[in-house]
Amino acid sequence: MDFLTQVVASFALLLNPTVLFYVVAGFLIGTVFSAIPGLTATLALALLLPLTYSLDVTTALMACASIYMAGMCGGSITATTINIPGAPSSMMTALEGYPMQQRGEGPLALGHASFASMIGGVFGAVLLVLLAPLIADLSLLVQTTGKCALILFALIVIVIAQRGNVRRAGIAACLGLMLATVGLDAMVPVARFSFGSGDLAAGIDLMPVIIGTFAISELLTQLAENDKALSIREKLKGVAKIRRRDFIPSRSAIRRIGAACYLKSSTIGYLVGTLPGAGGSMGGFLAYVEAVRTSKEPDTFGKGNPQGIAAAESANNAVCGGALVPMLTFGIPGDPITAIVLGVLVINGIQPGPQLMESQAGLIAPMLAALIFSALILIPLTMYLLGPYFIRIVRIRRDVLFGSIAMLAVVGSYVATYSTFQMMMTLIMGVLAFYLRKHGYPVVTLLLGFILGPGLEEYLRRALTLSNGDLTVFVTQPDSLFFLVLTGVFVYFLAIRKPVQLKRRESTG
Amino acid sequence: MSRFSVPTMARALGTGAACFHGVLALMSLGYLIVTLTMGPPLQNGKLTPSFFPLLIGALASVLCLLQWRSAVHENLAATASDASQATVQARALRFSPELLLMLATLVYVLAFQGIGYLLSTLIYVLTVMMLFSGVDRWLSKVAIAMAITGVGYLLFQQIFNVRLPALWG
Repeated sequence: MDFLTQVVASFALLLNPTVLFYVVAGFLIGTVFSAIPGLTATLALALLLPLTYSLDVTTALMACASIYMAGMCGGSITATTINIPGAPSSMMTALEGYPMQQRGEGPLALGHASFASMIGGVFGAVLLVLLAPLIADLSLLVQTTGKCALILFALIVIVIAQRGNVRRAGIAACLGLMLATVGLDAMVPVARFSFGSGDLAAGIDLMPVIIGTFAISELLTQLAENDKALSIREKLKGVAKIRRRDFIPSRSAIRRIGAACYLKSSTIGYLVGTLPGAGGSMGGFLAYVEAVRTSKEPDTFGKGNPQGIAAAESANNAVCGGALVPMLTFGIPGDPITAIVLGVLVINGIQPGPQLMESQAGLIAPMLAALIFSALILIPLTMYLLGPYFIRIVRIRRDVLFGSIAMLAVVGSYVATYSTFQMMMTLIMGVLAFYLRKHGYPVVTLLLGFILGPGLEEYLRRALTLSNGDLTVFVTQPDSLFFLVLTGVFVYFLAIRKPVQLKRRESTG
Repeated sequence: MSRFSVPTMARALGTGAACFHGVLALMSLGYLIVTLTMGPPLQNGKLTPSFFPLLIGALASVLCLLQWRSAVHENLAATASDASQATVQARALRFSPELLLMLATLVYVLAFQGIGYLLSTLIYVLTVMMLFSGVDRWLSKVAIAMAITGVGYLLFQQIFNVRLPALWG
């Protein structure tokens, strides 16, 4: 049975009430978390990660997929209503959504956002289903040196994608790599950095790193910014009541935006998603800029043009499909959410990598079916049914919300090994991530460094052992040479050429 | 650097970002030193377990030291003005709720297995709630904290079959 048939057959799983419950619940949790400014779908996934221990892995992956899709579109709610994007991916939506809200067309802006999210989400997921098996076949050609160069490429691109923050991103990545070296060596049975502790000799588990980095540090950050958040809550109180019938955009309005805009933006989003570290905000931004550039009425942008919303939202939801390509085919996550999805696989003893699409197609196919289902059915349905109540949901009391998050985060980290050592690790990671964030370090590079570190070390040592320590093996092997050249191209365009152009522009005024 | 006085230098090294970057630099150097004690990176032509940590430790130390150096320079420029010194003093005197939350979580983790899930979680959730919204209307907060603890118990123990520690048994 080919992969496409398996995905189609997987839709039948959604007829199982338990599976459907987790997919829908995941989507709703993802929407609420991404709608609340400051909280993200990544946090929702991090909190739900411990629960996947008790869940069937297929169901857990399907729930993760629906949270991911919800996380990309939920941010448009507060972006439109109070001009504060609930998630970074909805930054461009605020530019057009809020002016529409000010002239009384807020629900319509949300309707456009929802429709575009649906198009982009389905486009990205379908493209993923069609292309991932082909890329997986290609990935089998990548040998040990190539794998090492590929991981290095991913890490370097993630670091240089943090513009204006590259050194800090590099330090955070190094910290992640350093944490990954704690415990037994992968090739020789020697414990490193364990300082005589049996717990440390077993290595640092992925779960405390994820929960600490995204949940505990978020809790501390939110407490530090409590006053600011209270003013957002006050703003939300002033939002006018939303009626269900106002959500649905007219056919003529959709025609005015044009199929080309939806498809072009979705393609941009998908391609951006495949790049490590780019994410939904970059996808939305590029698609929005392209929509302005090719528009016959560029002056109308920034004043409530639904085309801008359509471009940004279709792109950021198409990112979901694109971002899963490197994770499923190479085992390389490009953003925190795919890193957590990878964590679910690892927790369940499944090794991600080139063989994954072939050996575990039965697990991956339902996840992709859930991604399509979330985009096609849950996005419009949730907006239509729950849209009028979203503002009330987002206004949830902060003390209740964070009391619950604190409990879920700390108790959740106990689940992995039934030991308070994991809880302590979670706290230590949370405090470290909090101070890193406070001083402008992107913690996503820390997480990806931690996840990619063991693979990088293993392939580097293997490659050098096989070549008797000859470093030129990385340029004589075509696969590693390809990724090294690709790294050079990205470094040139993102870290050398662009800053030079910016400096020139600044100096010319 | 000599144009700055000793107290100015001390303030620049000991405050805010410079202090944090300094801690990171020390951590990286510590990591590098431990790696060096693990033995040579190459033995009989083969790479040893210290090879990769040595690479990472060296890279991290260089990056952290550079970051620390630029932070100290920024601080020196900032502490030169009286206004920023006042800000630093005000910041030092400020009561930090984040620190309290860290402490509360630490106490919770330490007490979790000793006094059991129910009691420790109830106190922890209540503390977190009060840190976010103050101590007013405490009775309703106690009720909500009890509800959150109960929901957590149902979720972990009953639905997901996680054995949570109890005060008795």
